[in-house]
Amino acid sequence: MTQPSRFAPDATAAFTRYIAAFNDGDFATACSYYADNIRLTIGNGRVLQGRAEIVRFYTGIRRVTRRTITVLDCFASETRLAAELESEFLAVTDVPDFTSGPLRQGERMYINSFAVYDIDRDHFSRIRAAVFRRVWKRRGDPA
Amino acid sequence: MVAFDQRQWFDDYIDALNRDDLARVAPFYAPDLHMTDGAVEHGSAVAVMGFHRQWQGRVRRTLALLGYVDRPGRIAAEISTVLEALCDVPDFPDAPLAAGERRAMVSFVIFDIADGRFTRIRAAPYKAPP
Repeated sequence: MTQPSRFAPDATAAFTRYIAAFNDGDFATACSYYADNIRLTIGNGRVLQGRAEIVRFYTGIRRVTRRTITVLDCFASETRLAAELESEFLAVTDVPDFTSGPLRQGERMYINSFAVYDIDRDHFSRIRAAVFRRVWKRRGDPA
Repeated sequence: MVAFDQRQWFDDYIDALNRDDLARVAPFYAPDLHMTDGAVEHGSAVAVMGFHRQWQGRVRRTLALLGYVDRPGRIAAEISTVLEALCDVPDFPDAPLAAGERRAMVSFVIFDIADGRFTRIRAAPYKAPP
């Protein structure tokens, strides 16, 4: 008997669990959502190919920032999920080479992005993000 | 009562834009429509229609729907846009267009809908090839 897809009947709930795993740094759970040939394009156009490269990239991000993703909205068809996300990056150290621009310790950056997840049965096979807005909270900025 | 077919309605909007049929485009917009694509921002249907009229006959715009997901009241679309300058357009947003020049882009766009009209349109440029 075929197992029901993790995305049916409620893709939003499955997606929320995926993002929670990502926020917790639980890459084993997050990677269980990925197809073997997963391809992830981040907002600046960089392509991450395969689970190992994705984990390597985000492990590096977590080393220098505390990142929290908030799902502002998401909805899905059988083959595609669209999400509006807000990512907060809090620099835990100076990050002169941060992907979106230099960050100093204690500074925050928010990225509001639109992301599209292609669903192949039980997994994401392709993830693509586009940046709608970036907001920086620099030292000395009003709270 | 006829059910509102959001997908068909959206396809009609894209078709109207591709035909540069602004009389057909206008009814899709709520008066307080807010539209932004990073390069331009408009706070009313009047402003958006003015923006469309500004390029009418000067820039040919061809939109293709690459992906579509929706729920009632909201559409997420992946849209390819090709702009072709029909004459020199020195005042085009972002960068001037020379006659014959083509510019292509892909955007992820979220459309909010209320009472059968767009109330907010937000576009984010997608930076890698689809």
